[in-house]
Amino acid sequence: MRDNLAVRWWTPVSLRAVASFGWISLMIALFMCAVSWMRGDDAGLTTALMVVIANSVIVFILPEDVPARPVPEKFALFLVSGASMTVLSLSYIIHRSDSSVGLTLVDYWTAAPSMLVGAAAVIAASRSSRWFMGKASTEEALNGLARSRKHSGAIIQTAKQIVLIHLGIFAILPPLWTVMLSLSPGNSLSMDFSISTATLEHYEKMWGSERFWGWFWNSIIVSVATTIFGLTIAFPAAYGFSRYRFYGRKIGLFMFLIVQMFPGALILVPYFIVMKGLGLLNTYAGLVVAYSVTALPLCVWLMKGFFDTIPRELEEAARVDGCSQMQIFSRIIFPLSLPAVAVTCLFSFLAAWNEYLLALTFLSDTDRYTLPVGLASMVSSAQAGDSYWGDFAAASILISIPVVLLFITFQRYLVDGMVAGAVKG
Amino acid sequence: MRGQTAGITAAALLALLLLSSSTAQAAPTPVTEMSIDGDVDLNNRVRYAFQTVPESVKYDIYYSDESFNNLSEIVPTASSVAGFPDAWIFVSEDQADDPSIQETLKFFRCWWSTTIIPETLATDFQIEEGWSEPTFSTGMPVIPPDATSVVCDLPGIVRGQQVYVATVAIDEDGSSVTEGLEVLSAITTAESERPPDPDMTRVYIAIGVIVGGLCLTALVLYFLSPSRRERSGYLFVLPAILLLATLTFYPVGYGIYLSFTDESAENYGEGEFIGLDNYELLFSDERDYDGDGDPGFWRTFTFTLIWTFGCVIMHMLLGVLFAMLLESGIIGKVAWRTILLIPWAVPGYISVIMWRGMLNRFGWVNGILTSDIDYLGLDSWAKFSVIFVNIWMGFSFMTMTTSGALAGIPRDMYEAANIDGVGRYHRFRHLTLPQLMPALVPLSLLGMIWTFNLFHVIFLMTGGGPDRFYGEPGVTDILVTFVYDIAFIDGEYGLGAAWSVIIFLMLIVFSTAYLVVTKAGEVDG
Repeated sequence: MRDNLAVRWWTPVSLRAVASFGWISLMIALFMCAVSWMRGDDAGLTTALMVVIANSVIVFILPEDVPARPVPEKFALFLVSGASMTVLSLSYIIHRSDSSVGLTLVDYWTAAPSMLVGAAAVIAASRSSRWFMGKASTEEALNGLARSRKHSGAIIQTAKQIVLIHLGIFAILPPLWTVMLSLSPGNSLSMDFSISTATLEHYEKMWGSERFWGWFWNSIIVSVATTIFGLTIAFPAAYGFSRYRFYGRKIGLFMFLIVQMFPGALILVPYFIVMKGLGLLNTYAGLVVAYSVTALPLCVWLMKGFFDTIPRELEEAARVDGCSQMQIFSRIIFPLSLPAVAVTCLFSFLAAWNEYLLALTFLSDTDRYTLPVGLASMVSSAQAGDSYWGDFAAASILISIPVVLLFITFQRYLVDGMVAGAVKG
Repeated sequence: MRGQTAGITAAALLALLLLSSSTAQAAPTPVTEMSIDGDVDLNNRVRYAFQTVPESVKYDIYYSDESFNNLSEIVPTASSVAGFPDAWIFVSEDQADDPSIQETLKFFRCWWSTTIIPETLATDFQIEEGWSEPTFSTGMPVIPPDATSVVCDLPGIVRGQQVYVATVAIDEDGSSVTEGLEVLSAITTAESERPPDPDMTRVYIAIGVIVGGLCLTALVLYFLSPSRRERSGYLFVLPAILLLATLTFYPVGYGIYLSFTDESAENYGEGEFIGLDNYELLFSDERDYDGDGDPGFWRTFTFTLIWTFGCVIMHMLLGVLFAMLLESGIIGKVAWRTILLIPWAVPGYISVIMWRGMLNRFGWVNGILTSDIDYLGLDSWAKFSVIFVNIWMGFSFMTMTTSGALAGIPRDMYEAANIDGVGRYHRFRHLTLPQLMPALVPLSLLGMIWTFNLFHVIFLMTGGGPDRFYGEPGVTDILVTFVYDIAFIDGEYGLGAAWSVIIFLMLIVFSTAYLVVTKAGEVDG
């Protein structure tokens, strides 16, 4: 019984490994097709498509368990596809090396996986010929199962790590490009980065630039003021909604929920007119008020949710002991809700720090620009793109580092807060 | 989007000021007569005119931050490239549009005539007889040799900064005359030299009424309240309610009112009630500039839907996929998580501009792939690019939230499924997915609301371009970015408000779905 089971469920671990890695090479081969198409390289595209076909055969053809009857055709297909994958990707490389631009990193990267997986498929299949033919003995099956158990974890882990490396590169490529751009000499887009010519000139320029620091301080002033002002309004409101059951409470709470759904564009035009009428264009106050209102609903909901978890009995006990309302606030509620207050502050601050549309609409004076509007104006050229790209990159890196660190440190809270219905930053 | 430049440096209101015009005239004079005048268009354009010179084949127009007497003294403005003209006009008998260049590049408006330059450029002179629009080659105008006057709206001038402009006529040998340049300066500012601000008493009264009314209501409720204890709640929530009412609900209401008026930057504060005219205008041929039977609404609407659903569906797919990978017992989970967090953590506007640089025709993507594709300049590629970039920006947030939800699924369910020999697909379909759904459905609806309203990605990437035709939405314009153009570049507040109301009505669908699904409307008791 045990022996039969072993025979039935056994697949050679090498074949499984080929199938696992085959998925990755298939994805990369598809990318190879896309790249060839984008280059307008028809011959390359044909080769790449054939690699995809051969690769799909390997991925999709493997029988899950031992064949009930000999499957020489699958065995043959495995060998042929594997061999053709290797040959085709090799010919792709040769074809590309003949092209006018020569071989690039992308060519190696797209061709190498298919080459390796193809070769591995040939080797694995030829070593598993007995399995394909249904001739494997019980002893072989038991050994194979043992090997499977021993190695499959590592194989899957490796495959996953390879996928993650690609994902990580995808995630990090634009920031990496910005870092390289900021270190390259010249202010143009067509950078030619190398370690030997790397320069800190853009960083020095931005660090010493009055304009940059002006924008920076504008952003700091607006963001800090927004945080403080927003909190002063939202804190009591959240407390009121959490602690008191007054008539109209539900309507009020619902109002705070639906305003988050209002489109910014709907408010923008009247906002602009009202702000203009009140003389608040081009002022910090206008932005602070606008940002505070935008962040208000989220702040109120976040803090109300937290206050709900603080037992009422604490306050009642304090009141019995003769604490005034102010003392209850400062001695009990505030210290207890400090984490929620911190998260709320972080939200208001980041929302104001990263906001672009309102700042763009309200500010027309370059000296009043906040960082988003200011930085965007540095590369606002309609020309071929030769604006201040190097300087922009350096400034972006300087600004992003603290923000990214904040995100990494507080990611849990930020994710939870966003899910709670934040405005996307 | 009206023009790439127009969108990039947006202007709310603009006035032009003729500051100086040096008149150093030395032979040979390149361009004899010029004028510069203002209050043209409600963006960062300067209307500029000059008299042509016989035998010229091209006119180069230069901007400079400083006044200059010859071309070597030019201080390039933020949008200029040193040594290159900022705009140019060809002179040619061949009056055919360049077929290889799309209409979309015609952000540079221009008119020519065989008459003289009009007294003032601020009027609608070009509707008068004798004025024609040029054809275009490589995005720049082509005028016939018999044109004597040229008027153009110069793009890409930063508002609030003085700019000096000069035209150089270039003859057949390619040589230009730089001596005796007539340099005119213009300044585009937001408020100076505008008519005095209109009477805002209406706004003050409205705000006063709202504040007073709410305070009074609160007072009445306070004293009518049956419970002495609970009534203090009113005092706590009143400031927040006041702020919300005056700065969110009132503007929304005002916006709805505006959509029924003909308010614009010109008759600002004095708009008259015109009923549903704005809504009709949205769909009328009057604004159908390219004559394809659609003033742009349906085209924009379709792309908005493609954009919204494309982005959200991809965010969901990638988010779930990557989260499952992250939660499947990989080595170095914390490190990978941190790396995957980066696209979300980098400030959005910086990411967008980074991608804009990378996708530039001379940028990194073409460099790495050794391809030559103008990702942001070709219709389909531009659409693909904006969606792709937004997917890059949004997938990591979805991964984070989904991996949080996945971590909450009890392990023993999977163990039980394993023992029962449930396959991978069925394990996902019947175990993981149902557990994730309560988190995914509200998130995807919220994601749709966000993406539908997402302004800065498209605005900073393509500015809505590639442009189709002056006055029509660009190829990648979504509803919210086009509203911005109408309101702040055309200055048509009423029409912009009408678009906004339409957007609002559409959003109500998403929002209602969200409220129903999450039961968020049923606030706790």
